[in-house]
Amino acid sequence: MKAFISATLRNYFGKNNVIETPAGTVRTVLKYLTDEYPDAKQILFDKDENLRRFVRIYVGNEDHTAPDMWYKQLSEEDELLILPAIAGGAANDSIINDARMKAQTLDDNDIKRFEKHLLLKEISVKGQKRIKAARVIVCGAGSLGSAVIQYLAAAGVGTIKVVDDNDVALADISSQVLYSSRDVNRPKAAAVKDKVRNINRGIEFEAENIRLDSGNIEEVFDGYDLVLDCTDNYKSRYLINDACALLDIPEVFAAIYQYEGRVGIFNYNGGPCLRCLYPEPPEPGLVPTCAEGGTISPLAGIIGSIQANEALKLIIGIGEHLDGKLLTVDSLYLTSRILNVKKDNKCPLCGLSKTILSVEDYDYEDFCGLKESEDEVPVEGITPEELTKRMDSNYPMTIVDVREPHERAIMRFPNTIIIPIGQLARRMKELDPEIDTIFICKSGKRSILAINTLREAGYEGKMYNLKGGIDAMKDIVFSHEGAWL
Amino acid sequence: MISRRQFRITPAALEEMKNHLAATYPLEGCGILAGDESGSIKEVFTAGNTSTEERSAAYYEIDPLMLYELEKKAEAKGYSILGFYHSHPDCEARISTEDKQQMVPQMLYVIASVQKGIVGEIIGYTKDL
Repeated sequence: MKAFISATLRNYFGKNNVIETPAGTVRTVLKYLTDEYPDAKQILFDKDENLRRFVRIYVGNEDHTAPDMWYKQLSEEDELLILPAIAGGAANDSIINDARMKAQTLDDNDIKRFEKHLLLKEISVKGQKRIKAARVIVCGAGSLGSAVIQYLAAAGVGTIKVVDDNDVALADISSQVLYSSRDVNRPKAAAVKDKVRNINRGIEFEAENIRLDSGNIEEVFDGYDLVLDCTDNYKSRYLINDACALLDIPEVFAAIYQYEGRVGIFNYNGGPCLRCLYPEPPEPGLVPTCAEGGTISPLAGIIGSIQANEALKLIIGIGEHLDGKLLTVDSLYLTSRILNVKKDNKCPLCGLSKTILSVEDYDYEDFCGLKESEDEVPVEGITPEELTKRMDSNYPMTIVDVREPHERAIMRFPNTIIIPIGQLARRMKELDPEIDTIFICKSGKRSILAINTLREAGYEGKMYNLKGGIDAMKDIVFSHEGAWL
Repeated sequence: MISRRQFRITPAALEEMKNHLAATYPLEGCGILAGDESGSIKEVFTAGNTSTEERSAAYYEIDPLMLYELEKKAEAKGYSILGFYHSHPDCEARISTEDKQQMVPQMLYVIASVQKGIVGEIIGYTKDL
């Protein structure tokens, strides 16, 4: 069969415009061509053997660029074409078009209020009008959200919608600087409204006390220009990423953990998405959320501020931004790096052959490993009440605490064996399989991991997981016999 | 590595490119640069921007099959394909991240800034393999 080479690529194919190759599949033809012309391999494929972004493979009039079409048998009469996709975009294009910018006006009050922005020649009146025209969604009003919401509202983003279904807890106050001590137990949606009203009454601000799920997310996002992901769990992150890609809304992603933060831009102008960077979330329980792993107080302020800054740059259309990049910041050792994120042609969401076409048909619980699979033996749980009863009646049992030493320093649990998860299999013999073993951790997730680890190691005794962990036990323990601190 | 590259173009070809990009304003216009082996541009071939309407003020793409037809047309006239041109409406003639990611190595990419319908700065770029 014949392979036709575009004039733009011919230099790498010995200047041939048509090459006779043995018939086969796209894969075998490409293999033949790159073996014959080693330069061609360099131009068609990157270091990881992925087809370069500008290369398109056609068979006749049909696009065969997606690798899953490379196995189809071709006939001797078929013509394979190797062509470039010539594309690009204007530099620094704002996500707010000129018509919407021009429809805005700045009054005397705006001129005074936004003086600092107007003094910057890159922002000026046009940029401030774009900010005013922008419609932005902030998912999560926690610690990242605290920085993001305050800066976006203060900078004059015209329409902001915040989505969060939690109440303010006392543990939130140390890092979620949107809230004050008197907001404890109030819904975040209500508290954030009060706060933003004091910052800037001139903007449209909405806070919804709902949890994003695959049933409501498209409706919540519809009509907005930009989404900021300030959530703290993988299920929400993938759901937000997918909805953004499907609705063609760019997303500024940020995440923090202990002393480290990350910021990136996904789904921007056909760029990579979260799934290109992380095709799968880590196994549940392996990476604790901020709620379990902790975080240093100002970190969310640092990372959230960078996130808000990226959002403003996208809106105004200035500077270099984190599209196709991931910024990592280590606040403990003050190092930062920018990693390149490549678009994955095999990405099921934004690659060449898409399999995720709607969030409604996708099982996020299952994807994030949050669902108990049918062939997996479920872990038996025990409630804090039951455990308290058993303790009070001296019921024979072994309690294994799998928390880290610094966590145990916060709250001790009496009469336990302390075995970190990593040592469980090795120290299995310390457990008596004749009596029940109860596993405890902070919130009841790592203890499930512990039970599964021991099961895999062949432990046959009865094992229970303390549901909700020591966090759930706290109220009962405190009311029964006071603090054990 | 992406660097600026000087190029030679005949006055007639330059005029045709400028007229085309002024006519497509406020959308991005694009086309093919054809010339001789020495790298001098003799003629431009306008290409339709096949990008969807909504984004075409800030984005352009040439359908690969259409490009292939244009190549054949240019070669029939005895030209070599030297590269491509496109406009940045109301933007500088600076190469964008989007442009960089899509560049075919060693081809000449000419970017023209079109401000309010008038073609301004024109800069050539090229990417090493």
